[in-house]
Amino acid sequence: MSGATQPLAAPPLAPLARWRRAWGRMQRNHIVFVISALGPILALFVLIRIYPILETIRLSFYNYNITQRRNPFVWFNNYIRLFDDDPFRTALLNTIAFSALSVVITLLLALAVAILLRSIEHTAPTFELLFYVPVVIPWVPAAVIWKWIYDPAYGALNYVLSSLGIPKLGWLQQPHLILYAIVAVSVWKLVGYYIVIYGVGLRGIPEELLEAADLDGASAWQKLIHIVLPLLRPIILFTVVTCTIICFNVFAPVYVLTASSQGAPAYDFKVVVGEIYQNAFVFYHMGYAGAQCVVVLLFVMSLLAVQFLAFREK
Amino acid sequence: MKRRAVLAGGAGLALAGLASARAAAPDPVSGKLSIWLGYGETAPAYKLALPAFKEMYPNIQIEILTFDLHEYEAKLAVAVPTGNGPDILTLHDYIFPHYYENESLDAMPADLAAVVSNPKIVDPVFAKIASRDGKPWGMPWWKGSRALFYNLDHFKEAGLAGPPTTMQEMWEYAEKLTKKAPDGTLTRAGITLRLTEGSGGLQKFCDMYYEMTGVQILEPGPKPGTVRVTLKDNLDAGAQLLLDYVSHLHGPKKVDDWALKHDAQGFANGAASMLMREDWVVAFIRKNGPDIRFGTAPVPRGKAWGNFNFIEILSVNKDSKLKKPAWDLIRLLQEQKYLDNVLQESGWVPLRMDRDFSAFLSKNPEYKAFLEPIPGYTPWIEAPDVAYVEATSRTGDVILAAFRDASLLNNPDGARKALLKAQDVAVGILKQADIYAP
Amino acid sequence: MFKEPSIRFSAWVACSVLALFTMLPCVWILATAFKTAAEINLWPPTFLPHAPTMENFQQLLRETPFLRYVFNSLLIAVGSTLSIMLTSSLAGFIFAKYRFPLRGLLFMLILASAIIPLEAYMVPLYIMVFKVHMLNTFEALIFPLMIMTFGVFFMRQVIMSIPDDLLEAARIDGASEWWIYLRIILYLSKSGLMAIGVFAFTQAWANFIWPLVVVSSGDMYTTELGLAEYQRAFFTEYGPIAAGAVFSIVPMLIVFAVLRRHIMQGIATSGMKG
Repeated sequence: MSGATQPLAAPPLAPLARWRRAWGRMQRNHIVFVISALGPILALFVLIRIYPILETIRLSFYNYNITQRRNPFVWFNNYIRLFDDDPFRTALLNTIAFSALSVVITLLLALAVAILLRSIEHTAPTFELLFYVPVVIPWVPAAVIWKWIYDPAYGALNYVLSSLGIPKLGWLQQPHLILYAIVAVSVWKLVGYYIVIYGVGLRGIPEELLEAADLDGASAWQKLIHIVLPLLRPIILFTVVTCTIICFNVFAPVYVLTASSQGAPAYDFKVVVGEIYQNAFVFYHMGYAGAQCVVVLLFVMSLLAVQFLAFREK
Repeated sequence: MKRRAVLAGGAGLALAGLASARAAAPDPVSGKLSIWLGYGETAPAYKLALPAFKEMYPNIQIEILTFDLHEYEAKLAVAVPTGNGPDILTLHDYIFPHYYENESLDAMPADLAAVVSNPKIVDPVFAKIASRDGKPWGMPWWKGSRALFYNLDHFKEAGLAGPPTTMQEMWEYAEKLTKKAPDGTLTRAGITLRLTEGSGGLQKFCDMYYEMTGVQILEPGPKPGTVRVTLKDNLDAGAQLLLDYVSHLHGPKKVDDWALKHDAQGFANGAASMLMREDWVVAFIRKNGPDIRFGTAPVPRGKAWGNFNFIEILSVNKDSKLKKPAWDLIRLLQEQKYLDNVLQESGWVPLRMDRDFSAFLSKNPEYKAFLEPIPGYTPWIEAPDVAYVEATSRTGDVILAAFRDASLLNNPDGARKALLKAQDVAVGILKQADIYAP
Repeated sequence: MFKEPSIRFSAWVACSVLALFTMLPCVWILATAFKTAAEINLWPPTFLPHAPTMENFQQLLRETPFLRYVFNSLLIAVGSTLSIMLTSSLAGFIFAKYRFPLRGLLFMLILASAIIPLEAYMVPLYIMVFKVHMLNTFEALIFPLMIMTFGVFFMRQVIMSIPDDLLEAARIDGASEWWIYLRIILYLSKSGLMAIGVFAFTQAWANFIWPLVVVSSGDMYTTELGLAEYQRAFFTEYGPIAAGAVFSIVPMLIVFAVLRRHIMQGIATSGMKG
């Protein structure tokens, strides 16, 4: 007999046995470590997030009003009402458009700047601090300043544009312009955060690899495409996923830019979290708001699934 | 003569109340009395009453927390049903029904209830809001009402002798007062119309709707707590008003624009010549636009003549452990000097008719349009119900969208369609809340 | 990284333009903090104050115990940051370097729990805290901030790039898992950890809606709540709010500047050689 012997194909195991075998593969002390370390942390997640969210989902099947005593069970009534809800549909479309634009512009800009910063490493700290300041500024004063910048009659933006011969535009007043105006504000606020994140990732790439590529005569562009970006993949996955979640949750800036009565009246740009908040805490329909949450949850989860597939480790 | 008798009678009642409170020995009960305010500008009145309250209850501490109005209402809605709310509930008229329905209110002491039910002290229009089946559940404390603000300098410049007295005049004056740049863009609004925020926009439209028809868009229904929608029954008058709005927002008769700084801020900057808003604007203009010389006048009349009011009601939380001291504080706040403080510090008008505010009025003539009752000028209040905020916000969204729609210019059919859509939205929400009255 | 002169030049230009874009509005806020109420409402608005005044800062300190609020916010932010740094690095390590059943599912569950904002599930959380009589306490304010999903996610991505051989070598030498965590992982992922620390601090400081419903006495206010007092029913006093924003930004920038040094260090791989 010569040649390799084929191992016999193992018969498929019942799920429980497979489970036990998987745990068995781990060393005993690893099991102890995982359970004792992850256990309490998972418990915190369950208490702080999972249980309240499940409760909210459960309440979405009731006509739950926080100031009323009677909360009847209404099956899928809340979900059926969602189909007719024009403001919610508008809000969903607006939020999707806003997120798509914001995520792409913020991350591309942050990545480009983070890469450029590595060439001027000694000045990088100062720049990173300057980029990070908008991230820590509270939304209310920031949004007011942006409202002034965007003002049609006297705002700084129109002032600069008119000196270049471009007519004054109503950035927050025109329905087709306000989307871009709000995206600009969002990019302003978030880009510094992602520059820091990409900075962490970029600094983790060993210099030796790049020096070796230099010796091989690779151009900057080739180094970028073949070394830097592939190694940055896990971080890029993180930024795409988290930026999507943050942008879908946009609320404070839209609220201050459109609803406050400072300055000129703005177009009512609806977003999903604004609708949820209004339904829950202004109209007191917590059950209905819960149903809206579930819809958003399902939608974003599918988006994230796609992103995980696109950026998965090879 | 009659007025003085009423004043004397009221003063007597107040003195009696005072006497009964002060005559008792200080109560040793201790604890913390918490009060949450959505209108922080009324806090000084509470603080002023602290020494007198301390005499009655030396061991009770009072804590006053103030918040933005919308946040206050959200916080209250989360706290009170779970048994966590403050001892004194300061309730806007439109959220009062929520807490009444939720059985969160403590029953009023008999003497205060008698004051509320007395039509000589509290106007029945307001007493009705705070009562159910003739029994009051809260003490109306102050009211806000609207008036027409007008810029004296702009009026003089345009050769206009005084404020407009009819709706027709209002639109004409607005056209005369509007200023345009050479390229046609507006630089000054003849009148600044409320163009944002659903419920706010609806309110201002509703003011003029009332003048044109004598009814509100959302009227109280026959059964307490129910609401009727009157748009369909007054379609022609309503459509005419919408057409007036649209023709003055688009086209050659434009008097206001979305590009202009609007509302109270616009008026305080001289970017608008007329404004219809509530009492707080007086203090606002004094602080933020000290150069503006302005006057106030009653809202112009149409077929009817009336003024929007809203009130703040003081109640006590049923879960409070300091119910008696809370009611005593509320009773204390009815005295003249604290009501004076509310008027002085916040501009909101205390609504007890048995108090005398002439001293304040002589120093602050701008408040005349808010303080003095005028024969024929009917105060009306919106129907406070459990779906008030939602109904007004969503209906307001439809109306505001109609303002933006230039295709409604000279288009009576389009205007009627827009109003019928608003009607449907309102009816849908009211039906969902089980309070629709056909 | 890229030392070509053309790239360095573009770097300077691009970063300067971006810095201008990010900083101009911030400088405007700073300028607003020094303006009088009348000047803030001037139309067209001014950029630098014509008659700078400290009135807004004085009003803030006079009308409210603002320093107490800053102390409260600091306490909560520091507590939250330490907790998040610990839980994120530990959980991130386990998700990155250990295979166990349901690992993928648990991770997706944790990630999915971050999609919905706190406002949506706040009421059940509030009732939970109320039932254990912990309302209006520091514990209640820190509680939802003890974990950060993005923290776990980020640490996992960072730790994934730490070579497994390093861990195996330590295990062969007899190290326990906890020792590996404390001595190797924390050291090698320091830059990521510090970045998480900065973000946790920022998030805790900016938290508003949770303190709003949980706090019911003035001495427990955070700075965000304190500033909200200046939003009156129908208008906002922007002077004190801008002044308060300045107060808020300073601690966060200090934390950033201090932890920055640690963020700068890359993952040392020299341990692999020899």
